[in-house]
Amino acid sequence: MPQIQVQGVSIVLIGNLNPAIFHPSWFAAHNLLRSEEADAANINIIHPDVASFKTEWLEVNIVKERFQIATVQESYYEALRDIAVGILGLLSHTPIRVMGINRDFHFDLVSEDIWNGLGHRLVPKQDWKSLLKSPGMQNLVVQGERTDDLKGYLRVSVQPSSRVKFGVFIEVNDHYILKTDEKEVDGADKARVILSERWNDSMKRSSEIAQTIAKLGETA
Amino acid sequence: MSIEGPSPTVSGNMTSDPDITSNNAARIVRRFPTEEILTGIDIAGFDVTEMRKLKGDTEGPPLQFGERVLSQPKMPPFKEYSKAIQKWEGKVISLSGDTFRATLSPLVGDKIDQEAEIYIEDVTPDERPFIEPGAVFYWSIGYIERPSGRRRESVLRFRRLPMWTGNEVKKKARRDLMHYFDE
Repeated sequence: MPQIQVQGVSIVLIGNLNPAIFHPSWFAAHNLLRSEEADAANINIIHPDVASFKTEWLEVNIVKERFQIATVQESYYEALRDIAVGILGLLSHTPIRVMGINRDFHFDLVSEDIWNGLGHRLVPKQDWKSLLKSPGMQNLVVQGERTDDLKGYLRVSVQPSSRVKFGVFIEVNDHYILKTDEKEVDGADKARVILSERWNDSMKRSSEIAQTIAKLGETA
Repeated sequence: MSIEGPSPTVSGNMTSDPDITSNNAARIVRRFPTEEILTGIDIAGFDVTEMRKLKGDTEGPPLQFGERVLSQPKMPPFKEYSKAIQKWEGKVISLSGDTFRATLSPLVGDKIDQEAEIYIEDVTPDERPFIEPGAVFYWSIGYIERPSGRRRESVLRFRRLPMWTGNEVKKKARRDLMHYFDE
């Protein structure tokens, strides 16, 4: 039975941002982080072009076109979402075009046979053997349409884990396209509503996808 | 899933990938050892800007800094991460002395709604002002992995949204009313 060794969640927003404002003290001033957390933050850089800092559980990386917050602390997944919801509420006029709710998992597949079985099941090697010596799956990316009423897609990446011996890394990118027309101005509000109302569905769906894939090696 | 083989990436997608196969504007603009940034418009006209991680490296990406790229200091892998065995979303029902009563809806673990009486002392001092009927919190019981070993943890954290609380709304409504009376 595959065991999750490490997992994480990140929220990514693509749009036009002002990195300089995203100082830990700004998060505390708006009640998004505890004051103690903000004071103890490890700041890599805060600059007009880039903001990057870490707290005990939160990682923040923001450039002008891209906002990313992430955690590998399962206890704080909802807190991560609330920070994004809070920021989108505060910066409701910020043009946001795309949002990703991304989950990543490192599974321990326990044995080398199961590990190779998963690779063979996902990427059968018979056609590759005449082309490559010892072909091995390095990165499988499969994309599917959304089954809800929103624009975007689901993209799943599967790779050998660089962290766990005989492990697999699975990333599920729950991708939302918020703005397809430059005239649309409510991208931030759309993102906020999706995070507020669809978060649990997204978490559950991503987990089910990853768990299902991780088990495939057992039946190969 | 052996990692031998001369090709750095075997993309095994069974359906056509519009980002790669279309002859439109989608392109990889920057590539690092552990990631690539894909940007452009796909065949259906959707923006496909995103960052793809390779090799399951969950560390922060290099940062674009004008025309330069800033590499972040390398962090020790998995310095600390936590796993929840049971996690609830709670809602405060009432306060009484040194405890408060709350409903608990499971997010992870046993799927049974419960009610619990929780000591206010279990809440971090700076979060105690959040304890009022209707306030939402998250309570997680699990373990945390550290280089020094695994230990149990219980995290209770109130929902933080930069919005007015019920009391703030009431205070503002009162202030607004007083404004009319003053006139």
